[in-house]
Amino acid sequence: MARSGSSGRSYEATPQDAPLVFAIDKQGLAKLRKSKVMVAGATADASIRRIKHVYYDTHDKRLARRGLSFNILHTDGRFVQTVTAGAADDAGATPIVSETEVSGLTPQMDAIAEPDVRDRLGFIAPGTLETVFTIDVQREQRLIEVRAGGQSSFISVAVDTGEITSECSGAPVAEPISEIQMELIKGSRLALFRLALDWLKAAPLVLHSNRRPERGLELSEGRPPPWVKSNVVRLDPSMTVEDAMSHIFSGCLTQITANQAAVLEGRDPEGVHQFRIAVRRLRSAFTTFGPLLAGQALDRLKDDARWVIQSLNAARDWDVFLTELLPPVVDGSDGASFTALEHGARAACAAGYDQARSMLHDDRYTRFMLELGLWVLERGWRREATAESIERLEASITGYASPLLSKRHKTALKRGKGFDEQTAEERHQVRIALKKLRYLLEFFEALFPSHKTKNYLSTLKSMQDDLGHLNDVATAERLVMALMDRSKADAPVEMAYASGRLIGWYAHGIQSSEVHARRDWKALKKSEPFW
Amino acid sequence: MITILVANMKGGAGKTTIATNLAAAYADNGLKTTLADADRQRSSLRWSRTRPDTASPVTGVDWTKQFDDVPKGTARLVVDSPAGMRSKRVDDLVRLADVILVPIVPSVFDESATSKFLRQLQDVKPVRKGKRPYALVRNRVRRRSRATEHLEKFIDSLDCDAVGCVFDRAILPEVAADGCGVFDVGGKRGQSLREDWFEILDFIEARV
Repeated sequence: MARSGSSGRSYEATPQDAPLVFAIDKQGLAKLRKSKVMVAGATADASIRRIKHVYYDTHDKRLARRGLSFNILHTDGRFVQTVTAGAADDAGATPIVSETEVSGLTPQMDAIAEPDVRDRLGFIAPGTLETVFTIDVQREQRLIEVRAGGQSSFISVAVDTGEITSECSGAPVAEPISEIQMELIKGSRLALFRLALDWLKAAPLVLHSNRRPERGLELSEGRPPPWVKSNVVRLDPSMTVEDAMSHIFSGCLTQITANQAAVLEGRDPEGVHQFRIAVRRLRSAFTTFGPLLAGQALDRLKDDARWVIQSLNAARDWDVFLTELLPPVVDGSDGASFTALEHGARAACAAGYDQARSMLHDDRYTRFMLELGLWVLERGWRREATAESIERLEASITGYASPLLSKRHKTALKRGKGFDEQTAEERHQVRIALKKLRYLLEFFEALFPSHKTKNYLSTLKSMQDDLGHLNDVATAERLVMALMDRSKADAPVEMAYASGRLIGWYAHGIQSSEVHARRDWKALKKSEPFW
Repeated sequence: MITILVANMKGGAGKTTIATNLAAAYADNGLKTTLADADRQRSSLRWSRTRPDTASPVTGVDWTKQFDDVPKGTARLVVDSPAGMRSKRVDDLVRLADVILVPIVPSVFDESATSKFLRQLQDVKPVRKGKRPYALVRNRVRRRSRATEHLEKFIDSLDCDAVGCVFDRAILPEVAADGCGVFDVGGKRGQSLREDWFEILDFIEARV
């Protein structure tokens, strides 16, 4: 189960029938209207209607706490009251739902016919349900037919413009909605991706997630969109290599998308951190399965993935600097001033986040994610695969995992030979090798007994942490040098002094990190490979 | 199913009033409600049997001898416990419950018995571990009386939640005689009567 910050909710992998959602701004919409894509393949004129969703709860938000959603939909002159218990984020649980026509926007408890739903709501005095937030959009909807390979697929495309409104601590809050939702009604999901890619040629589309009710609740509580930690990859020993690979790629896609909002919002460093982890895992998956994948499509995807992660490096570097590297030095210093350094770092961090946001708004990112989704969906690697590759793809994943793990393990041990006397550069190579081993282990964790994998991973993680600490001095140097270079500093002497203190702090820290590292390397060498 | 135990060692604190009105509240709200009477006087049981057909139904069960099964599909079980309960029975009923309400009236004679009962409650392990939320319920309160002020001071001295303020109203025994509670009273009059009870009902709902 994925864990996430600031909302405590969990996300499962995107269900196969989830719609594609994009954000688009006014200019983008204008461009779309000028182009032909909006009407190409449309089966009829657009239907235009207003859709208003009002969400309710008790004054003490009991329903939300119980995982219940109570809302009334108002559209086409009708009012539909829906109570959902056990929303889609509860793993495996089928949501219990009550849906009835009501006469207006006033909650009608006695209209609920299902006793189990009524019980879950508990005691609610008549008239005491309050509006928590409202989602109000104008929807322009068309059914579009996409023909490919003699087959027809039907996709509903809805352009929603409007807003989410709520009240937080007594003050009104609002967030605009300007989105396009594409949902497959009938046919092949491939058509959905192809349509999206076509539309992308006509106007800039920014990938978005379909989480309006969650956003409404967050607005009412003044919370930013949460970051999401990755699911443990749950491979089944009975899977083929190809199935396992698809599963891993899909998981990465889900985690990347799930963390977009947190990166854009930019308040919590975990957003960028988790987003980068997801992209690194994706790149690691490209390498892990590399020998079996081939083709231009893959090369482009690899390039794009590298571009994505590079666009986040600055934000991550400066987040780490501000939250991990700088604070202990400031705390441990006697009156020395770090203000100029911190100021410079914050500016650099803000610039880093600007870069991250630009990347997410770039067409290249949207296209990358769509093409990746399409590639995984249609098993694009088969197109240019040899017969031998196909055979290996269809073999069991356990047969593939073990030799690969052994190979990576061997490389890591080899790189670390004579660890105690190694140079920083050599240690850096060890660090890279261990990272590769770690990703591999995380992918294949579910194929082996859990206590064995957990023990080994724990030993590996200790070693990685040590190498990380040893590297702090190099990181600190790199970052402060960047600051010194770029700043036409108001306080160059102060900054230089602070920089010196910082670097000195971590240079000194090497001594104890070195002891740990040597000890942990011995432990790692002794650890029996369990695969 | 959520079980609410209404208990106090001291007789006359109004357990039956609280229990029956809660049951009526739940029934009126459309939740399947059972009222279990563990008191030999069986006042709650009689009340549920007197309940008119026009009122939302409450099923009464006799728990004076043993804790029988409760009708299937019960959403709210309200238990009216006897005064002067022996320790073993307190334990058993407390373990069964999800929330415990301890009615208290503004009377100095009630105070030491109530304190003693609260200590008895704390002796039950699940309560000590915080797994059985409980609260005092102010009952038979008269506005601006010295006894009421005294009650508040007493409550402050205890380390315990206190919810609700059921005012001493003539209508309460009147409707009770007809097998009804304030939640069965219609119109504006019913509305104002019910307000005394919302804090109690919120307390229960928030903890389960």
